[in-house]
Amino acid sequence: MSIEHDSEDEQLDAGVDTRESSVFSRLPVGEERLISILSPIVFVLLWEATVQIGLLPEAWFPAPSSIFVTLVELLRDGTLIENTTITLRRLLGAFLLAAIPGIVLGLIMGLNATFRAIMDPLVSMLYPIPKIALLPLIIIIFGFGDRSIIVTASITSFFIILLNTMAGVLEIDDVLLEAADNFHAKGFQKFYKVVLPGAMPLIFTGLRLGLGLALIVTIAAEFIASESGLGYFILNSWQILRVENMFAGFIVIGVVGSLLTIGVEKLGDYLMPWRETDTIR
Amino acid sequence: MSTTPSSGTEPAITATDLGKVYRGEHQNVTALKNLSFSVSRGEFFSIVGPSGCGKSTLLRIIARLIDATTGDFQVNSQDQGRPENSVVFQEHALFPWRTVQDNVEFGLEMRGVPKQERSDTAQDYLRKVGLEGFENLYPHQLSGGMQQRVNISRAFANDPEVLLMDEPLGALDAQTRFVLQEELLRIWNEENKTIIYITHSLEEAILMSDRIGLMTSQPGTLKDVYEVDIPRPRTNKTRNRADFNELHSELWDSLEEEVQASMELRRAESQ
Repeated sequence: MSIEHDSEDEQLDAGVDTRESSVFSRLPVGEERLISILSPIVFVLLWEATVQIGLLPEAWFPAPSSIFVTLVELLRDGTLIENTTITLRRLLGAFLLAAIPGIVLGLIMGLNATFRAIMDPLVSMLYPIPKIALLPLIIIIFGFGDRSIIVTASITSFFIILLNTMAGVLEIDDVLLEAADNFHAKGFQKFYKVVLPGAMPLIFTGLRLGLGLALIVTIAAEFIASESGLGYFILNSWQILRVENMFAGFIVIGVVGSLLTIGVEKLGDYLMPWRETDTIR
Repeated sequence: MSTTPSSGTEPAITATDLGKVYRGEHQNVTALKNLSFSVSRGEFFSIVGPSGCGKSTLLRIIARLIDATTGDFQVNSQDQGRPENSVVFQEHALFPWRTVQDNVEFGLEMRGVPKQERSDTAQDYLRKVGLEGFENLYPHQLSGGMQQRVNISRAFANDPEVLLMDEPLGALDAQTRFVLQEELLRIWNEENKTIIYITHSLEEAILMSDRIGLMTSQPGTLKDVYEVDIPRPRTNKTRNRADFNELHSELWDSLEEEVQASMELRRAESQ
């Protein structure tokens, strides 16, 4: 055992990765960007070509060009806008209904060992149930329509927000809490200036995952419990055998999902400018 | 070699018979036993000992982060409004969500010091550690050495009766550590603070301290207290002095037994 340890000089250049070998291969940045732009374009072109020469059956996989025409048409006549608005309204309702109690109860579970001990078994019992399975029961209670969809989606989203918020509090580094105590942070000040910012990164992870799940469940619930919204629109396209409409619906859901995720991430970056930006999220 | 300071000044802190027992499920572990010492005002007092000897436990008791099982200590405060102690923690103890400036202001902010005053105080200490111009950066944008400068500023800015330092330079590379040792000495000299300094480095302890308390391995208690008679100001060149090296080998002879004992103990525990 050495009493003086002087062997940490190699950390001087820690910011620069100078390692040559690795289990995964690396590309120069420019090359990587070029490939990632080209790959979807090539994919769409290949798709178009295989449909045009008759390799892919058009009845199941319409050509990208005809999907695009349908998409523009459906946007112009308002069908897609209307259904998207309805779905977004339900999604927002479900998300708020999940996020507010999820964060509040998650914080309490993180801070209070008794409350955590009470809630833990309940949460671990309910969390693994795929909440969409509850939809029939929820329809019995809330009826056909908005309320059942919102409730089902919000229950799904609630648990992931709750658990991430609790973990956010529990995983605050002990030394930060010691520092807070040592510098006489007390009560609400300690909560607001140490616990809350400390838990924020994981709270946001919960919100991002919760929003994604809520979108999935909203769409799925709309298949069954509604005659409006993007889920219904897609199901209805199947019933009337308009496959291009179905694909137009997929595209809108994809765009909505990505925009919402990016939105939550941007909000996180805005609220937490102190986060290291190169972390994997 | 006494447990009280030689100079006749009033002690800043006096600890009597401190003990700490951690109650485990199968056995109790005595981390500290009969530990007494006294540090006079403005003194730089270091505590060295083998790893696991309870140095950090002792610091956490003095910092009032944990309670002692037995014994007591007293900090003589000159000024009632002043905090009793502030800790410079080992590493990763800066609030990542606060800028350098806001981290240094933290203690003052919690005590309700007005904004302008705490901003000036923080600026003052950041200048002293050479971090002017870095006020608005976040901790993750700083090197380890810069982070510890902020950590040190945060404690000094809080203007406590006693500063407690828990191996503040232990995680730094050798060159950075040398630079920060001199800086810390310079600030201590300007501020005339009482410092209790935990370290595992004998060199560091000799370079910085007025007196060094050497701890035994578990249960930790003070084995001996050594006066460091090397004149100040001390710099990194001080390491080359003959009396520096004499004291180093004297301390090491004593510490080595404890290191051996601590290793024996671990070997026994792991079997």
